[in-house]
Amino acid sequence: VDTRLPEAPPDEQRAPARLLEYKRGAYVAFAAHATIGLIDGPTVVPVPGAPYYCLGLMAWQDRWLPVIDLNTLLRAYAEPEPPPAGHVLVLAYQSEPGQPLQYGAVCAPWLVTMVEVADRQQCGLPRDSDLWPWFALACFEYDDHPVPVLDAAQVFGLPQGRY
Amino acid sequence: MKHAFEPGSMMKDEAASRMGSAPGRAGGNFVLLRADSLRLLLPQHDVGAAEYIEHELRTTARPGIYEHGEGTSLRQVVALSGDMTALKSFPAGRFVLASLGAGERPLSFAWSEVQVLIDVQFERHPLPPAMQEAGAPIDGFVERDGGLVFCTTAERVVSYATAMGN
Repeated sequence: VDTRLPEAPPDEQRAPARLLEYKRGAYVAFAAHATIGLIDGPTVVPVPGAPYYCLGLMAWQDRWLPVIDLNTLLRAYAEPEPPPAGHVLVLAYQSEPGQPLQYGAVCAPWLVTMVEVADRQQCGLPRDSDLWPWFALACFEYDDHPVPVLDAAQVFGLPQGRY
Repeated sequence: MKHAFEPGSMMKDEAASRMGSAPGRAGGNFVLLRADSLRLLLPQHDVGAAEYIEHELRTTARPGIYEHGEGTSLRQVVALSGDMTALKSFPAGRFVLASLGAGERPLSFAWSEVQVLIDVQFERHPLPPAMQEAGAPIDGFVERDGGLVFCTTAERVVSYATAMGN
């Protein structure tokens, strides 16, 4: 549990979240129960015609998961050379309530850690991407940074209609 | 590969998840076309007869489009890259042509390998939603010989390769 959070009353309710530093000094979070595993150096197979922020498919537990680079997705333009997958964070999500779980992976080039978040930490979304409202369920302050809580179902959903 | 933390509570729904993302069976006659590391799987009826590249290919005014043969055997030829775009310089190791598509002037593509697969069965995986870009040339994949083979059609290959070359 990270300690870089404001002092809280002892009876304050907190929810766990997985914090991902997706680029140097910039963070997103996912609901802790949605984060399944951190994989070191998976082999990623590029897929022709895939969106530019999608590195390809990686094998994981008898499945093939899409691997997305959040930094490229959020700034909405492609790298001249795709980034190496490095570590990836496997996430579970439901496209609709009651639907079966689906899985995807995001690049995790930096810190992945667990934090506990309270309601009073809520803050506005960062202004460095027009796509935050599309992907974020909420936002909280951590270590003087706004941290959007991402909806994995939106991150791994159909790309049409985002722009 | 190392797993740094254990599965969360959602893993209890594993069985339900497998139902939702399970591959479907696909069977019939197909052609596996290989361009270096790119492997494509097309319905057999989408692919014309294969022929060896016996003459030197000529460049044309359209970058990425080459010519092979003369007269009635004149072919317009495309060599695909790993991301299914038309290569601007003709690569080594492509020695067989196969035409794709219908119409009066089907486009020929240069391949490293052409393999006809008769009455085969595959487990066909749909592309994850995140990869289902409008106009994408691929709509699924199968596992074969330890790698992925991408499912497509002649129409998709032709329209994607020619659109990306413009």
